[in-house]
Amino acid sequence: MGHATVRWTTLIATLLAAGGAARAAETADGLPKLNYQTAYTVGANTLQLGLLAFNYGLNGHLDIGVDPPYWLARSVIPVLIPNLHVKETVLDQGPVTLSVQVSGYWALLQTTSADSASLIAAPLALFASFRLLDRLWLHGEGDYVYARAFGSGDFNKLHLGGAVASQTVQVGAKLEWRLARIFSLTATGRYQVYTADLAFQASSNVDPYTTASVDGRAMAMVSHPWEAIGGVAFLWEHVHLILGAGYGYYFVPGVAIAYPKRTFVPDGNLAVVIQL
Amino acid sequence: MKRILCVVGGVSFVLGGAGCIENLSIPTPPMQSETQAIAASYDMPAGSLDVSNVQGTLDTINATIPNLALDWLPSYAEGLLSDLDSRIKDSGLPDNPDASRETHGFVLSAVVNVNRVCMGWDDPPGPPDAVQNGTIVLTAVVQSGRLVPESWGTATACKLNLTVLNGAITGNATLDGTVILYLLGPLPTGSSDARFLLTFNGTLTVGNQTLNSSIDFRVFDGVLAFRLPVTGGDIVVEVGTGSSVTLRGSNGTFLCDLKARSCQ
Repeated sequence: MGHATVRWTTLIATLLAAGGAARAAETADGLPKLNYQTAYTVGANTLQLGLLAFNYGLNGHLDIGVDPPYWLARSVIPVLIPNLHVKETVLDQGPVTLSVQVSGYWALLQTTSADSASLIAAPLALFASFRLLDRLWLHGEGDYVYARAFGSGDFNKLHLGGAVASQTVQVGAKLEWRLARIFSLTATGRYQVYTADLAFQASSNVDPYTTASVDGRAMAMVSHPWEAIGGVAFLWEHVHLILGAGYGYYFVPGVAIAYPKRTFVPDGNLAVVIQL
Repeated sequence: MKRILCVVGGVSFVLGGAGCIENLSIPTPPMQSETQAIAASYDMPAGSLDVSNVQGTLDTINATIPNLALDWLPSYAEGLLSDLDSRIKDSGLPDNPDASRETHGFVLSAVVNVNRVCMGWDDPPGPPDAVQNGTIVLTAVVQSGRLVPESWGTATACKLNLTVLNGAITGNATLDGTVILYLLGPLPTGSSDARFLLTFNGTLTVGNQTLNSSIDFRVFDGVLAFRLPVTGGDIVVEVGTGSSVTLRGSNGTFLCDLKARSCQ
């Protein structure tokens, strides 16, 4: 076992050991709540370190977090993607919970030493979770995603003296069947109901006497991508493990942008839950 | 729904400004059917050569050629198309009217504008001065992944020094009117692969002489051709090397010599 592995194992074990008696968000009857793509938040003073997202519960109804994969992207491609999301429960009444999540992703693309471009994506999500039966939940989701790129240089062959922008609207639903206290079967679907044309503008100087400009729109070949996923969720006290597999168009987690080819769709998240 | 999204986008997208994406306004090329008819007449000329009066026809051709500015206008048009090609390729847009293209799961539509400040009459040319030397503005359209073959534009008091354009000729020219460039193949990168039809309506002045106000010619793989009105329609005159020309009419193809005033 390498030194790095030992250090990480020790750190995780220490963090787990430091966890207090109080647990992450639970229902009134003591069932842990699934907060992955649902209206539920992680819980007050709770840190959730996941592969897809780090979240911290400022209180029982407000989370703040980041998506580490986008930060880590810097190690393999010349792009830095600072991001932040905030999720707040706006209604928690009986079996119904409503939350709003606002996210922001800013991609800094260094195309050459002289040129750079930026991409901003701002997903706005509304989550609604309904406890239909003691062991059955229906989680609904509506997303509006606005993305805009701008800057100078060559970005995906669109020379950017201008900007690129698009917007989408998506709906999703997840059925959760709790078979045991910490184990659920899940069925998830997502459908993009609206896809705006991608708008781009650009201009350049061909020579000192000639300027050329482009004003264009890119229409998605697939205007209504979808995905259907079956999965499982293990909600242990300090570890949440989500696994799933399905078919359709893969929606990139967080920014919710669909990959334009129909394919196998993996789903999953592993998160350590620490009560501070 | 789009109006609602504009509002939502504007509110939610604090960092990036307004969230509304306007529809692309794609202009309609002028005189589409007329231009297509002209292009077709180059392929199948309706007029027939009067074989009993070949010399008269060749005399008319000799008188017509100087009025078409064929010694510099075709290469100038090729330059405009090359500028379009450069811009279109840089944007990943299709440069061939005969093939549609999909890019990364998207079908592209775009309006491309090229604005060229004319170089003026000075030799060497001074810095760009649109007010003094005029402009040519050219528009091309990509619609549903396909380049529309017709590009068009306006020359506004465009002053050109012909020696700067082509060292073999002299004089100053002024273009003022509407230019249509109809592609008969992909956008050219140079003279050898240029395939297009040019029509010009306006005022074309070289020196003190105002040439034809309405001209058209075709460039196809280095062969320059123009139409000559005859009884029953037009015949096509293809300019060859030296004084040779090829005349194509509904009654056949004739290889002729302008100096000898004879055809085979």
